[in-house]
Amino acid sequence: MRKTSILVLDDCEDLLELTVCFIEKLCGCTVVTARSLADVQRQLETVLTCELAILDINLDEGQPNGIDVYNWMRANGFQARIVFLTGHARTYPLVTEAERLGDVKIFSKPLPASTLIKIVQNEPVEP
Amino acid sequence: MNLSNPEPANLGGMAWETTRYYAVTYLVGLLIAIVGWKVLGGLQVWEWYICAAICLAVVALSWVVKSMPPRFWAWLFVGMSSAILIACIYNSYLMAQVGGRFLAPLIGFKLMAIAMAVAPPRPTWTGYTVIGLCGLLPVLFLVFLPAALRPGVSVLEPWHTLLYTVIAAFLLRHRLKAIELEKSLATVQAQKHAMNELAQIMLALRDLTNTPLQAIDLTAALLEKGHLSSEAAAAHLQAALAKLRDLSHTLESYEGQIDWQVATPSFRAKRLLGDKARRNRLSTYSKRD
Repeated sequence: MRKTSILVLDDCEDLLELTVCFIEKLCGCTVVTARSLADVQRQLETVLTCELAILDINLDEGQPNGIDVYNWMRANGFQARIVFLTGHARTYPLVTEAERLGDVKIFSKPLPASTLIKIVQNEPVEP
Repeated sequence: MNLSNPEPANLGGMAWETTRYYAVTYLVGLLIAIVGWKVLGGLQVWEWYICAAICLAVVALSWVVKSMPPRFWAWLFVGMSSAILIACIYNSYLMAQVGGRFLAPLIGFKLMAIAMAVAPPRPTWTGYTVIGLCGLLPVLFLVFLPAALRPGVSVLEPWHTLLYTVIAAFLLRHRLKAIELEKSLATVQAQKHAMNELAQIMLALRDLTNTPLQAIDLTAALLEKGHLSSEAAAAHLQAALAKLRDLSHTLESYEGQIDWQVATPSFRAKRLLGDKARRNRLSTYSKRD
């Protein structure tokens, strides 16, 4: 049986490494990692096979943000679930913009480990 | 008439500035009067010279001694204004004798009353006092003016001048209220700006702490399930702590801005943040209402 594949986008190297370890070990999924939109674009074919994308909203300064990545992925045929993770407040303009997208869920960091498991396993969880 | 306008905290400086400002203004006005009278008909103008000398002395005094109490500058201002008004009375007496040339009777009183309304002096009582003198002195002047000279003065006086002073008093009151309102608005704007800056700092703090906290959370979960070696866990925890330490160093630069005269030296951080947040919510609700 094919393992569930998940895309994780985060510009923080350390957190990305931990998230990958967490999802692979505790959820038994395979993880595709990316640190920027360019990374996602390079792995288009792999990304399109993912069943969930966990995107950080605020990436490196001057780089395309998580919403740009969302728009690019949707425009290129990604139809699976997309979840945003953010350390920013709900009033932050990018978070407000993400809320308007409609077909995404936004979660605030720090996210409890149990919530992350529920997100990956597509169990009902309120942001 | 409302004389109880709250005075500003730096009243001493404002009283000094008022006296100096009016001394210079009077001086300019007196020079115009002296030249004017000379051109009009060569009347004696020695009383204007005396007033000009008084104003010059006040200007000089304001440069030499600045650290006198507000009351000193206030009385000096009232005294200087009174001297000019007395000179106006004397001048009006002379003009009444001339009669036909008395085209603009008691003009000095009217001008001074309007000046008080346009540029309110501090403390506020000085403005009302000078306006009062501008109304009272012409009445006394006409009461004591010899009957033979009365035809030399317009039949409208002193009521015309009195009307000016009443209008000036209302204008002064309105102007003082407008100044108070402007000051309140400026204070509210400054407070709003400070709150906005504080909120932005708090948001930045939250943003910078959330990523290392998330890393600690995931490390703990992985350690608990035995999926992470203690070395790897320690490395992740060190990285998260390094970020929090960086943040702490960044925050040190703000410590110098705390006014410990106002802030409480010993406080409980959680309670402090709770209090501030509650106050912030209350102010938001009151703004909505």
